[in-house]
Amino acid sequence: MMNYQKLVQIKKETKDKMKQGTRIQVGMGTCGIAAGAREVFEFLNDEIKRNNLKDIHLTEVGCMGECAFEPLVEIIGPDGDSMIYCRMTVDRAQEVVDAHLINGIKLEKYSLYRLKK
Amino acid sequence: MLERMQIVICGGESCQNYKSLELKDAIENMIEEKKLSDDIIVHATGCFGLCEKGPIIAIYPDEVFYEHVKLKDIQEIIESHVINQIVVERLKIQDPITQKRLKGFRQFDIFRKQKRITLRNCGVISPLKIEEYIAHDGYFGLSKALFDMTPIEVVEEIKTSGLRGRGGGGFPTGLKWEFAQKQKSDVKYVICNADEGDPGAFMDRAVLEGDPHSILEAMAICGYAIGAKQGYIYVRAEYPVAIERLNHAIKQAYEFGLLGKNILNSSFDFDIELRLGSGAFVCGEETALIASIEGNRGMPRLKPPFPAVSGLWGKPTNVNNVETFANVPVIMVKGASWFNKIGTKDSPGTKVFALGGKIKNTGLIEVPMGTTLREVVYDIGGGIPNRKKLKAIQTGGPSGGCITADSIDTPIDFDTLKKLGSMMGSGGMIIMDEDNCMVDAARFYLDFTVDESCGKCTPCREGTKRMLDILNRICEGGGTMEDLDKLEALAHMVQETSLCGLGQTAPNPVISTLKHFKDEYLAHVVDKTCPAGVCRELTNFYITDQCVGCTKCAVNCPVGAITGWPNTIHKLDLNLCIRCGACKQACPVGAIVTKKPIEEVLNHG
Repeated sequence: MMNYQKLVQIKKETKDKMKQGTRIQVGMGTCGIAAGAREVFEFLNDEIKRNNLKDIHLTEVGCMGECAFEPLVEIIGPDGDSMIYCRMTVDRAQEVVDAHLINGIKLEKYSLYRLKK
Repeated sequence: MLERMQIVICGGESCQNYKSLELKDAIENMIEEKKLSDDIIVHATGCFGLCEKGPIIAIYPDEVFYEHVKLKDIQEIIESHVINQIVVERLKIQDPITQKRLKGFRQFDIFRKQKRITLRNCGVISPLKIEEYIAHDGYFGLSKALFDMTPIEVVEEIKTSGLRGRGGGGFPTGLKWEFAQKQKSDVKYVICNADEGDPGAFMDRAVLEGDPHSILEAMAICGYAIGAKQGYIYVRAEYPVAIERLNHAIKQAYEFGLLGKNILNSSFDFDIELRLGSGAFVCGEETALIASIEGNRGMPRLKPPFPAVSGLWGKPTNVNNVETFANVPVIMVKGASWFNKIGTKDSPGTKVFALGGKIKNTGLIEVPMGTTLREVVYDIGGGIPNRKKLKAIQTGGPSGGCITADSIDTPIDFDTLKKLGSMMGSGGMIIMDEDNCMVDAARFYLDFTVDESCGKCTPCREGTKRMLDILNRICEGGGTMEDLDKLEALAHMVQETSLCGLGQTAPNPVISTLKHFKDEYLAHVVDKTCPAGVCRELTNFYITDQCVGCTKCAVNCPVGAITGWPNTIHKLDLNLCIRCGACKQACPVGAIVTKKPIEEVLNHG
C-alpha cells in the first residue's frame, strides 16, 4: 500500500540513484523523435552495451525547448557537469561515445552552447 | 605558456552594437604597449545574456564582470585591475549572479531570463519513470492536499496564487474551481483540455510528453478540491507520443497507488481516462470538447449554464488546460505566496511560448509574466536572422492579433496583450520581419478559421467566409476602398455575434492588422502593390542599378528569367518571371526590389 512515508522513501532513493554515475538524456519529444532522436537513442544504447560501459544511465526525456537544435543529447557527469550535444546523428553520436564516454574528452564542436553563440 | 589572466569581451550581437570589438582592439593595444601579452589573453566570446548591461568585460580567474565599459575606461581597468589587482568598483556589475561557477546548461546566462515552472521537468526527468517524477517532488502536492488541507483550503490556495487559465482566456483558475466545488452533486468531473490546435503552438504537447505525471497529479488535486472522482484527458489523436506516455503514466500511477481507490491510504478515490479528439480546432472550446467526449459532434453551445454547473453528462465539470494544470502541483508544494511573487501582480507565474517565424532560436521558452517582448525576441530568441527589421509579433494564433515593433517594450501579461488588440492565446508567438505581408498573414489565419468553423452559428460560418473572400480579392489586386469598409464592418459583426470563442476571436488578426498596418491594405487596394513582395499578383521584381553583378540571383532563379554577365547589372525578363522571390532573397546587396506592375511598364517601356 502506498503512503506518505513510502513516497518520501522513493523520492530519496531515486534522487540518489539519479546522481550516481553518468546520466545521458536524449530529448525525445515529438520534435526530437521527428529529427531522428530515436535512432540516436537506440545507437547509444547499443554502444553502451557493446563497449561494456559501466555506471551510465541512458534515459529518454521530454522536449528541452531547443527544438531547432534537435536531436539533443545531454550528458551529466557524476560531478553534475552537464554538456549538451546538439544536432546529433548516429555518426556524430559515435564520435561523442568515443571522445566523451570512453575517453572523457568533451567534444566542443557539437556543443549546443557553442552553436547558439 | 599558461596565461595569468584572461580578459573576455562579449562579442554578442547586442554588445557589438555598443562597439565591444573596438574595446577589444583597445585592450589588445594597451596590453601590447604595457608588454603584458605573455601574461594575458584577450578574446571575444558569445553573448553573456546580460545585454542590457553591455558592453560587458569579464576578467578571469577573478570572475569580475564590468558593465557599460567605454573606451575611456580601458586604461583604468588595465592599470588598476590587471596590473595592480585592484578591482574597479565603479564599473563592477551590480548583480553578482555570475560569481558562482557555472555548472550545467541551465545556469548559462542566456537561460537566466527564463524561469521554468510549467516545463520544470521537461528535459530533466524520464517521462516513463514515475520514480524520477517523485524524486522531483512529484505527488507531494497531492499528498499535502489530501492530508494537510480541506478541499476549501485547496481552492483558497489556488485562488491566492492568482493562477489564471493558460489556455487563452486567462480566467482565474481558483474561481473556476470554486464554482465547481459549490455545486451540490454526487457526481462531478475534471477534464484536462489537451486539444492543442493553434498552428505553431506545442507547449501542451511538450508537457504531456515530458512530464505526464504532473497533469495526473494536478487533476487528482482538482478532483479532491471540487469533489470529483473521475477525470478525463481530452487529447488530440495527432499526438501519438503524448498518448503513449500518458497511458504509460496512468498505468504506473495505478500500480503505485497514486490513482484509483484509496489514494495514499486517504480514502480518496480518483480515476483518469483518456479521450482522443480527432483534431477539430473548435473542440478546444470547453462546451464543444464536452460534447465530443459525450460522443456527439464537437459543437459549442451557449453559456450559461457554464460547465461548472452543467457540464459533462449534465454534471458539474471543471475544465482546465494542460499548462494550467502543470502549475498546480508546484503551487501546492511551494505555496501560493511563492507563486504569486513571480510575474506581475495581475498575472502571476510564468508563460510558455512557442517561438517561431523569423527568429534565430526557435523553440519553447518559459518566461515570468511581465517579461518584455524585446527580451523574448532579442535576448532569448536571438533576434531576427539576416539583419532584417522586425515588423510585427503575432501572438495567440488565429485568435490573436499582431503587435507592432513599436510596442516591443511592452511587458507581456494577459491584460497588456489584450490592450494591444492581441491576446495571450495558448502561447504561439510568430515573429514577422519586413518580408512578411500583413494582409497575407491575416488571410492565412482567417483561412484556418474558415476551415475550422464548426458551422453551427451563421456569423462565424458565413461571416468568416465572406471576410476571406474579400481578403483574397485584395491580395489578388481586385480590392476596392469599399471592400476595406465592408471588411471592417463584417469583422466587428462576427466578433460581436458569434456563439463561441472561435468566432468571437476569429476576426482579431484582421482587425489588428487593419488597425496597425492600414498602409499595407491601402497599398494593396489603391496602389495595387504588395510592399513586402508576397502577394504574387501584385508584385513585380525589378533589378536596380545597385546590382553588383554577383550572379547569385540568376543562379537561384528557378525559371532562368534573369540574365547578365558577371560584374554587370543583370536583367529580369518579366514574361518568364514566376514571382517566387528567390532572387530577392539571394541578393546580397538588396538590389532587387518589388514594384507595382504599372510602374514597371513605365520604367521599362
